[in-house]
Amino acid sequence: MNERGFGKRLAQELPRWEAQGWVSAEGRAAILADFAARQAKPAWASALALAGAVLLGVGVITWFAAHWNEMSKLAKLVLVFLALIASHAGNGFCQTRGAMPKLAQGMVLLSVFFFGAAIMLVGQIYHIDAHFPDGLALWAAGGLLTAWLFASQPALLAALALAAVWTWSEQFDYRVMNWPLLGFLALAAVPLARHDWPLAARGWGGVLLLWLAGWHAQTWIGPLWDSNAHLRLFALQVLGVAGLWTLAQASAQPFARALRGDFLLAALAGAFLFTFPDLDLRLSRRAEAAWPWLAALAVTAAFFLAGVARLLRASELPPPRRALAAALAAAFALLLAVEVVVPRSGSVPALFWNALFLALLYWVGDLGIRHADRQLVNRAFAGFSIWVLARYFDTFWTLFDRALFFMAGGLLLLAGGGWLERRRRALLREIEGNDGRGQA
Amino acid sequence: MNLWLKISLLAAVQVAALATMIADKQWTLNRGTQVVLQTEPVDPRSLFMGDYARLNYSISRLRLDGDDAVGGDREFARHDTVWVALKPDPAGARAVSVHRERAAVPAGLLALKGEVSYVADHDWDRASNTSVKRRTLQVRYGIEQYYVQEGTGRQIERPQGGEKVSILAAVDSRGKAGILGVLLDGKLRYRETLF
Repeated sequence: MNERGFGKRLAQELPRWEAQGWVSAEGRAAILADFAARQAKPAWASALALAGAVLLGVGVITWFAAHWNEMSKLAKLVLVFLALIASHAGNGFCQTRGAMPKLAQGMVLLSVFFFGAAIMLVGQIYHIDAHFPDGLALWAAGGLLTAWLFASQPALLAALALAAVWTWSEQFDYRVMNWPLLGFLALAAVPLARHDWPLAARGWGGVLLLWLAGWHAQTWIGPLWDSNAHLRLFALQVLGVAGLWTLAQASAQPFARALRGDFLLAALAGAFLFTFPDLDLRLSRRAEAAWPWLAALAVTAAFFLAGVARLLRASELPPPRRALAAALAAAFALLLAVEVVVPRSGSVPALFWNALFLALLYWVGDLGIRHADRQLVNRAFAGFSIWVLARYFDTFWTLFDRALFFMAGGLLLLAGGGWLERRRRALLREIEGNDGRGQA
Repeated sequence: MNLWLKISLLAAVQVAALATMIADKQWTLNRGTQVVLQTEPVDPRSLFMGDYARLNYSISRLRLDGDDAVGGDREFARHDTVWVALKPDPAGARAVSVHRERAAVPAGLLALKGEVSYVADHDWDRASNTSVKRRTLQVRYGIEQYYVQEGTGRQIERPQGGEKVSILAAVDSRGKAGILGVLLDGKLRYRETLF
């Protein structure tokens, strides 16, 4: 349950607890006062400072782009360096003499924008026509250094956004692997491990997933085109992301806590794609050495299994259910291993994947109920609805007359949707009933 | 670490990064061998940096087959680094050969470093106005953009009255090129300076 919902529920329940004699009147007031004090206040000052920094930064960048020959080179250089230094000095004064930490964060963000403007202006003045993503990489590195030095989440968010554009440009536009991004992400992980920055943590996960997706731009298009290799790589990535999820789920670290939902979603999305019987439709097989794939599989599987083992050890589930969870994890890894080792043929692997995907959805829903996590329950039901729709189109589409099937299928989906919605609501009510008694 | 020390460190690193960009370019312009390159017109705009003239040179497109083919290697892929052997000429430098390794550039010729933009197996023949089977290499040298005041890029890209635009470039010992100036009908119109 979210903080707001919890507060509302607390205010409803406390009079009853007081009437029962479980809580004193003073205790009730103290609980409500403590909860109100811990609630996040609308951060208007912070939001205004950050919005101001963004507007000013964008304004300066476009101003430089528009006014070109109005000033001498030297005047432009002096201006851009002064602007950069002024934003740093502004940050220093806000933190020391003014004691305005919110505005200081705005200044820090502004300095990130000014550094980008300076890179572009220098490029413009001196006609530097380098590899375009290098400029973005330099800008992102500047943002990361700023975030490190001033413990600034907005600066890190800006740096991660720039890293996303950088890696997109390298991998999707230029179609080359952006290996340096891994170094950037490793460095960005250090402040994230030290501070509780959920937004930046999720941004970090998003950039990592984008980098993984960018691998496919290399194999799918261009001289390396080979859909068999593409599928094998995808299977390894899904196993790797699932491994990251297991490790994040087993950790109480705020950085890991913020990331795990997105990794689970990414692993489930990967498993869902394997449920399509036509995934191998354009599979081109080329004679290639199997050992690099097997080596990569061994490393990724070890990573995944280590996470699963940690999760199972920490689990409070009764032994039979723990065994079931272990079997599910093993089946998942085994199916992915088959996708890596044996080139896919026919729709038999898809049948197993469909069964596994449904079992995974059941498990996600069950996890959501046990942890009183509405989001997980909703995701499990949304996943099931998407699965039904997908099978409707790719399996039955060719078997029945379309008009007839639209009618029958439509009725089936309406009835199924209604049943699912009732079931979802019943489960959510059950979660609310179990609040405070939910298992860990 | 003290706050002001952190601020000074960040400012110093950022200024050093920007100064390195300028110094690297200036090194090429000051120490490089001057060479005139003929341009072929095209047009564009940068979202962040404003108007610029996009320059396409006669040495950007290298034919690997046929009568006017350049010498050197034949097998290239996209994003490969190439070394082009240039023979300087006041009327416009000519590409003699293209190589995968710098050491293969014949002595006495200027070695210009480039990156393969794409390799095409068919080329448009202007004389017959048809597509002909001919392996062609499109190469980028890092001197394809010239930033100009807003709205003036077309003067360079598409000059009026049949003016001929060429670029005075400098090629340094690393094979890097930089634009020193713009020539209109052989006369220097723009000259790049440090400040």
